[in-house]
Amino acid sequence: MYKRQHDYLYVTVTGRNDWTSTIPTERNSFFYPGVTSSFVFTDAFPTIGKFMTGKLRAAYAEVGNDARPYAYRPALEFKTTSNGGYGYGFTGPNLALRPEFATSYETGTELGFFDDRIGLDLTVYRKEKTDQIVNDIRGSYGTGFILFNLNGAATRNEGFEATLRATPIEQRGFSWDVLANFERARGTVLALPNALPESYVSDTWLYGNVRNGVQPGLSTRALTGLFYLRDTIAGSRKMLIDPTTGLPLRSTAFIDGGYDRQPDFTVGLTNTVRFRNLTMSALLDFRKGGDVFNATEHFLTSRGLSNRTLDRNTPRVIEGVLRDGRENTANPTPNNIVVVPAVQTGFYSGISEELFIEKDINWVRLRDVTVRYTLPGRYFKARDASMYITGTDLFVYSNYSGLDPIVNGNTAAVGGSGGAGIDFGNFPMPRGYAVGFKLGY
Amino acid sequence: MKRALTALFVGALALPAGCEDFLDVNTNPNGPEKVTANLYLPPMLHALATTPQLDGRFIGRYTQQWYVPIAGAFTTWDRMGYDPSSDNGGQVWRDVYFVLGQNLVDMTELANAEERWDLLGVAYLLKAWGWQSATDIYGEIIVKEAIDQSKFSFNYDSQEYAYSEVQRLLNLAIENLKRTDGAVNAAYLGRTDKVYNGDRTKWLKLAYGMLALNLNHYTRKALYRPAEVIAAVNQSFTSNADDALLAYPGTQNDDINFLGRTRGNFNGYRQTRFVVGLMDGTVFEGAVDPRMSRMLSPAPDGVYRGLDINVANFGALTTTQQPNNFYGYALAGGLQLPGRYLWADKVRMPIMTYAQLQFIKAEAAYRLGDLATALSAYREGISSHIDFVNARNTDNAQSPLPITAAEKATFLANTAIVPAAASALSLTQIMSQKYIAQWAWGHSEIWMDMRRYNYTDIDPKSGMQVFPGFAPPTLLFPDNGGKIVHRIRPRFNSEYVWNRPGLDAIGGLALDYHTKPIWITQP
Repeated sequence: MYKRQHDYLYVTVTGRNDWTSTIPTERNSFFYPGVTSSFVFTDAFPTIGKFMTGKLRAAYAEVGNDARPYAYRPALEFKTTSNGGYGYGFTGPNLALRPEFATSYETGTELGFFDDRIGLDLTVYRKEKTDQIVNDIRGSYGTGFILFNLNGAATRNEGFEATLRATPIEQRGFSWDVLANFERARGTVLALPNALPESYVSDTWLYGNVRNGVQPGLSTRALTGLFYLRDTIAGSRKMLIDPTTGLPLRSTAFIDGGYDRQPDFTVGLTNTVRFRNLTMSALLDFRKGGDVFNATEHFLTSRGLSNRTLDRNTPRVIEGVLRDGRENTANPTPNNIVVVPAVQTGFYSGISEELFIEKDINWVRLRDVTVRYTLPGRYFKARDASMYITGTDLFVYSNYSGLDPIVNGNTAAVGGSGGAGIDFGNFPMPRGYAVGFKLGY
Repeated sequence: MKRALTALFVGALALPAGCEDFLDVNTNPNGPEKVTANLYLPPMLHALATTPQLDGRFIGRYTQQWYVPIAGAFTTWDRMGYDPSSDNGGQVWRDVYFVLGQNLVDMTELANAEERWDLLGVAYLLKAWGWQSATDIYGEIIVKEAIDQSKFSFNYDSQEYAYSEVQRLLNLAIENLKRTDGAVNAAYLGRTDKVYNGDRTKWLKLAYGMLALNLNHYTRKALYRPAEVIAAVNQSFTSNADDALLAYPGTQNDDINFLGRTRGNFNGYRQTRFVVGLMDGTVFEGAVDPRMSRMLSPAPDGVYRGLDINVANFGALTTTQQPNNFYGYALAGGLQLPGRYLWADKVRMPIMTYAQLQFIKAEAAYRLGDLATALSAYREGISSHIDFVNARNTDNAQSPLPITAAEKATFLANTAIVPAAASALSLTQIMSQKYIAQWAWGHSEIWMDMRRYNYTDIDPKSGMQVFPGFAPPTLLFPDNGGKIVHRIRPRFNSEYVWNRPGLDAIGGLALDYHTKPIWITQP
């Protein structure tokens, strides 16, 4: 018997050099290589190939990026203050600007069993950005400027993705396909330029005193804010209370509160069932974990419009310890000051956004469902014809108290981790229905 | 084929070299990188007159020039506190480091290279003004390491150092402003100098005036040399014609007087009982100051009242008894209508005045024991400030009528205001009249005067407080820990976010940092 020998090992090497005008000329040329490889082990070892198909993949790539135009040298602006004249704009010079680099590693496998009726793709990746250019990061005005474009941030994104394909039933006139995607991604900020304590995308500071501030060691999707001050005793974290008002004290600096908008994992599940001329497919979306800031509720509460302010005449003592100098000792003074929110309006007007960041928000949502009927016979000389009805976002089950936790308080264009998970007056995904008639030629 | 390959290879080699010029296109077409030296000046001169007014909203409450009445509560500043996580009170910080900042460094270098000694002198004077304003408000500031884009953490310098640096810079300014050689050119400087129109001799007088102001702050120090203060005042302004004033063009929001009616920044502000008390005869034995009705604002019923800063909102005052806003109207009304005194769109805003310097001289002479000089300077201060009020009220056709010569003469003849004998002059009189002369514009100096006298020190001569009628708010801001305010915290979005190590080293992270006395006011 003749047996064809397959190729089973592939290696691709790439190299690329960029020259850019947006980096100072002495550093404006940069080279970056990449290599990808795959090993079809079921072809290499035909004894295994009898039972399955399988491939191992591995890739390494570097990618360099330049800066935005005019990022490193400031220009003077005409000033609109008295009698005109010129002065620098907010952004200071950075003649040391250099390209940023990303190094990524990826490895995975593609497996198929039972004549590919079950398939499994697994991918593990890690991408580290170094010398990352942070645009418009602030610094002390002691520099003479307010904003800078700086190298020096480092972030790491890593994750695991799995795709399972299966066709549990395949008979004449009846089949069932399942496609499941699992994704777990993690982003961590490793460093910020010049050891600055925090960086944030100012467009995400869209409500109150919470923003997508990142600090080294935190998730790229962290939130910083003027959260409540707490005692520094390990494991205690009791709120500090102002002894003159009985209300909790808030930080005057943007601090980390342990929040992360990144979900633990997401799963997308597509089921497709065919029965004779009828096809039904549905995409279910699952998410586990990840925090959502319900700014709408904070807005309503601080103005006394939320239902949670209905008990405003009820006297209460906020749990915490008085900031009387003993708050960080073994014997702090428990707060015993009674406040009535209806009288002490600071109870609501000064309430921290912290209480409205909802932790570990999960959901199950029906992204879309389509029922399609393939018409027998020919219509209008079409190759095939079908009628369908589609519904999108028909339901969502979530432990989120607001309208829909999928919100993004801004658009993807703001950069960074954006305004995802910041819900300020956002509308939920609309339910959609569509009925259609399709002709294929 | 071979030839083609060779050509391609040579071309590839040549590409990077050719790119050097091709890629060097970073001259921003939207703005120049350098301009002639005098074009840097206007934004800085705007800051010189305007920046103090922005922080004056808050210092004016510490010094009880005004009060912001709100229902059922008190604002943080009226309680000698501050706004946490806010840049309020940080305008001087911003403008000294950013509006002056690198622009002033570049202008200084250009003026020096082009031998424009008059502009160079103005540059040194501006630098000195920046450090003086900043240290008087914030205490410790960044001086030595300032304006360095390679650093991202800055060490603070002591106020003692800042003061000596101001003196060094003013002496450099004086040295340069005296020169007439090189490229000194009044027309060139005057093209953008809308304060003195290029007159170097007036800038020279201003430099001496600023030196006098600096040296007179040492009253609590063994180092205090009143004779030097008097000498500096004598070389400075000789009449109101020398006053450093900036006329606001009033063409758009940013070049309209910050206190102006159109800007509406002071709609919620009202005069205090303290400032009214200094002028309505409460303190000075029935001598009603003719300036009161030209500077302050009456209530709709025509009576001049000040608000009690310890009573929320307007207290028991009926609508017709509540003082109008400073523009002279109830609530937020009066848009497009004439304002009063400095509260007008196109007023000429003072940076330093002859009257102010006469009071500095009076205090120095008083402390030197030269009471005759003290009395004449004191009288001259009041007299010239009355003229100043009249002049300002005509800058923009404001509503108050001028103080007549008869009114002025009667007031100056009142011995409760100007004692007949030099020996009867008191610090209370000097400092109270200086307060009136600086009211609404000289915030940093008013506050410095109050801090030098611990706000409530008693003048043994008069038996009254140096600032009679002044009392700190009874309900202080919680972070104060019962102490009164002595400084504003450095700008939040500069220092409290991005330079915390620098702040930590001077104790700036303490909750009550704003109550820590500044060096110059301590013995």
